[in-house]
Amino acid sequence: MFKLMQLEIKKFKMRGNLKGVIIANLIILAFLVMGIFGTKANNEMLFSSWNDTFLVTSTFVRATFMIFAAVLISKLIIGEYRTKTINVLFTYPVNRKKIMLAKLMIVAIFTFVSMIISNIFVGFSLFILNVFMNFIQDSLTVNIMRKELINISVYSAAFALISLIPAYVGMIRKSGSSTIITAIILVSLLNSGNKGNTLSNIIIIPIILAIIGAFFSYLSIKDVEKDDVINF
Amino acid sequence: MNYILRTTNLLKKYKDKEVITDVNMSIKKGEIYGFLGPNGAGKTTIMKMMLNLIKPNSGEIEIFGEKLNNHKSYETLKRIGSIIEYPVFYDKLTGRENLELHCEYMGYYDKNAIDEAIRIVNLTKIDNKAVKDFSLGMKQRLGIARAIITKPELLILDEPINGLDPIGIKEIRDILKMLNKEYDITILISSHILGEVEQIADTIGIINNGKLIEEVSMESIRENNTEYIEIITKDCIRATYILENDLHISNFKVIDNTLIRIYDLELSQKDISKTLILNEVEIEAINRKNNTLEDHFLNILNGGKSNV
Repeated sequence: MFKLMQLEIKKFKMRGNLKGVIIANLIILAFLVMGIFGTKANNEMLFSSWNDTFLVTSTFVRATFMIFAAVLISKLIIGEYRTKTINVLFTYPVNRKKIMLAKLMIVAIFTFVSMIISNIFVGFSLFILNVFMNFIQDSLTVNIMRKELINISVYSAAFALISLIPAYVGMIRKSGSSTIITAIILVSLLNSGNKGNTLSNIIIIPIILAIIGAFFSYLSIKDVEKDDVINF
Repeated sequence: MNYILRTTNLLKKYKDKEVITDVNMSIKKGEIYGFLGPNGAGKTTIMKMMLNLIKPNSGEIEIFGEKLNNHKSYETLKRIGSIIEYPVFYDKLTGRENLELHCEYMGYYDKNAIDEAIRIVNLTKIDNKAVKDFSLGMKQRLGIARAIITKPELLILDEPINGLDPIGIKEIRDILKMLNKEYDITILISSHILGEVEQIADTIGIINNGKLIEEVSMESIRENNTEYIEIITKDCIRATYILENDLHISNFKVIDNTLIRIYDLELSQKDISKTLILNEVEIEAINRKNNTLEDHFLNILNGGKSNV
């Protein structure tokens, strides 16, 4: 399995995506900083406490990387059908389910890791910025940080699995655009709302969706050995 | 007889429409099997079924004496090399990277094999060049290199000479012959270009509308490969009279009102034309002709049509 994942990474030059992660991070940070300055000019604050800050940053990060994951899915999975390389891949003496599982795992792990790193990076950048700008009044205690780290881990894990739901939709007609559109719909459903009052902040909802995500990704690769390999 | 691949009563439907009907093919070990048929006849579909990419609705495929099975045919797949439809690659990677990837998936770790395969198909100067910058001819060569890299026992090649120039076609033909002779690789090659298959195949399977119409060895085609003299004349009735009475030829056939084919080749073309002219039969053309595979092919396809 590890070997199959390595081959996928080599095949799709996954290292190139690191650049994408860095750029995405800088854009998120730029947005937040713009928000901070913009609201400060009006004498109202985008966020005044660290709890609020982390809520907003994690929402941004989740939204970004769920769509990033959808792009990866359409490249790694749907793309193989589109370019017909699947016809070669499935004539190899390798279990097809394992090949597909390797692809899904790469997407999930990639999403999980980049969500965690980005949360930490953006949070840390804001902390540094705050030292100079002092836009957040309360102090960052160890308690808040510990709670936040646990939060980040749980949410990233859940959302890494939710990110796989678009794979199921995309696989139906082997369509990259329906993959990405599904991701966008999920993102807007889960993350829209005011100041952290979003669906995804009710912890039970992401967890249920994560279970659905795991189940759907099982469904999308269940019959890969039995079905005709059809190219659209 | 030792068969490397057999299909029995292969049937495939797409939405109640039968695209492959009752196909029984037998490929002998060590031969080159030419798979002929017009575009859309079902060649690719059958080849995909052989590679387990498409599942038949009914019927069986037996390769290397074992039934092709959904889950347990990995060992069989290891012994087959293939190109389906047209050669596809991960086109951001270089040719060599693609071949390396192929070896990894096939579980084949002979480092020299890649160089050897590249050398066999005569692909030079491909290093540091992404496959997306390859010409179609180069992709075909790379595809063949990929198919033969693991020294398979059976090669399944779907239209491998599409997009090649005449020199390239000859080279590929020589390569396939060489692989067949020296490495004892059985080759199934599909094409709609008759002349090409005719030159390398030992057995020909002709398919049309999803049905295998004929499976015949080239040898027997060559045996039946009648030579004849063809005369085109306006005065057909008079000509036949002279052929029968003056020249005593009975084995001839009037194709239509202006065309006569003489299968009795004892008399030379010169004698025939001389006699006809002396008897004032106007000859527009007289030729010695060969019944080629093409005639055979067209005969069969037309025959199939008139039966329907």
